[in-house]
Amino acid sequence: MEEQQDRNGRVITITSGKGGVGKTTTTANVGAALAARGKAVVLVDADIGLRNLDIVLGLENRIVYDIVDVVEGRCRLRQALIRDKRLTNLALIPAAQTRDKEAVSPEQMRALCQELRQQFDFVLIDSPAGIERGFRNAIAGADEVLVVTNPEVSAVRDADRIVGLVEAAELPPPRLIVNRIDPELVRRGDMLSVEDVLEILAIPLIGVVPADETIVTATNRGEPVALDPHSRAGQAFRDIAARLLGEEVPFQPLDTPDGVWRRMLRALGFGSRA
Amino acid sequence: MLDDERARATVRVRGTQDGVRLLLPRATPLAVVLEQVRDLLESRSSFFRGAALTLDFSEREPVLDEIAALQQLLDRHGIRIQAIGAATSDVRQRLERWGFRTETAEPARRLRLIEPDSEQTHDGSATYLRRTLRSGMSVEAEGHLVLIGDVNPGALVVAGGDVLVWGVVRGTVHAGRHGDTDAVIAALRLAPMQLRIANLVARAPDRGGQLLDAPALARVVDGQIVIEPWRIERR
Repeated sequence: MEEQQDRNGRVITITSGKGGVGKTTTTANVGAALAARGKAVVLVDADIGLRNLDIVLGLENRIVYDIVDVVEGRCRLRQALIRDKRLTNLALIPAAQTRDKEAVSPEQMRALCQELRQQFDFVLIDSPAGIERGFRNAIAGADEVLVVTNPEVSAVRDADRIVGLVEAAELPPPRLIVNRIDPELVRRGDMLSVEDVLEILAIPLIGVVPADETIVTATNRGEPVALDPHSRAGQAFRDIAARLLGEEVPFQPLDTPDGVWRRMLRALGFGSRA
Repeated sequence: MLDDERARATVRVRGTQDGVRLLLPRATPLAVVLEQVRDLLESRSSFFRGAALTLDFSEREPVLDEIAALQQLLDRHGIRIQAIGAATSDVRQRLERWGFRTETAEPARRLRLIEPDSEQTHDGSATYLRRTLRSGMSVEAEGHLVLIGDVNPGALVVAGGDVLVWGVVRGTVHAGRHGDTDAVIAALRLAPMQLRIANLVARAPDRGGQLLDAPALARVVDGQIVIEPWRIERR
């Protein structure tokens, strides 16, 4: 995190519409995975009033200044940046807990993103749920958007709404992360498959994260699973980071080797051709 | 509406979960009713053969002579009357005194959405749109609407005339918004949450809503929205 001037980083907003689908966990883990790859990464918690990202990263006790302090000029940007305890090139700008979404305007967010992209390769913005001011703030300065959804009808419905709003904001089509998929439930027909989700949303897929109970314990401990080489969910997050870096990474098979899953990915142009 | 009155003056056939139901019109003379029933039985003889059906008198005052005449006619076609439907309990009691099994029959319910406004008609022009309507989006057209793309769940399309979707309809479509019951809704795949034509509403079944995985057309038949798969060979 040396003060290298103008890295011209990418501003990527992680959003979902519906709450509780795993935006914050995704932001923390994709950020950690990118940082582990040597990139300078800053995570911005745009969920003002419902601060969470610091907890997932285990940095709660280090907060002195927050995003509202920065935009209102009570501190320098540098003072609000919290350096991660594991990865020196990962930083966090926490949300304010005692204010609400109205405390920041889209213009202020845009200016903040401009400032951050000069110092970092990746600026990841954790959007609040909903489609109101908080969401508009979160995408104001974005170059790209990642939409997180669960294989549930209600989450997909909200994701669809978000995709429409992102397109209306004249951003490029967002890419999709399907989080918490359970291959066994899909096989039994009790859960939407990735294919079902893609059929409705019709946007490019960038990640499929399997349901993994280690996420819950890791999140509570403030340890991103992306840093755990044995976690399947962690591998999925590392794959997303690699795809953001432009690498062609095959999707992990969730099912038996020649299941529907593989065939579907191949049909989409992902995965091994063999 | 004229069409509506005409529909109410003829014998209608309804398939329900309890079997086939003959809905008898209110004011039509018995001779005409018998003739209509005979036509129905002869034109669809294989459908009715050996069937047991319910005579629905929810709209018509039941008279013993009439029922007997109908019974005779049905008998000649090998059809048994399983029950007689009536709307009120005293009519049912009367029927039971005559020795018939009865069941409750609701007069056909019609959901009124909007008051038909005959002055507001469209000029037959069509609006053309090429995009997928996502949840929360809605488009309105005065005349017909042609959409290349999907109508996702949570999206709404409203048109004065027909709606043609070259894509999948999973959301809600309203054709003939000013009361035009001739309006139709056509799509490559009709798996809607709700369809509305003029002042009629049809919604997806709550359970086991099977997607019609084929091109289909929705139109109004006998005061009800009917969805039929589109068969090219039919044309």
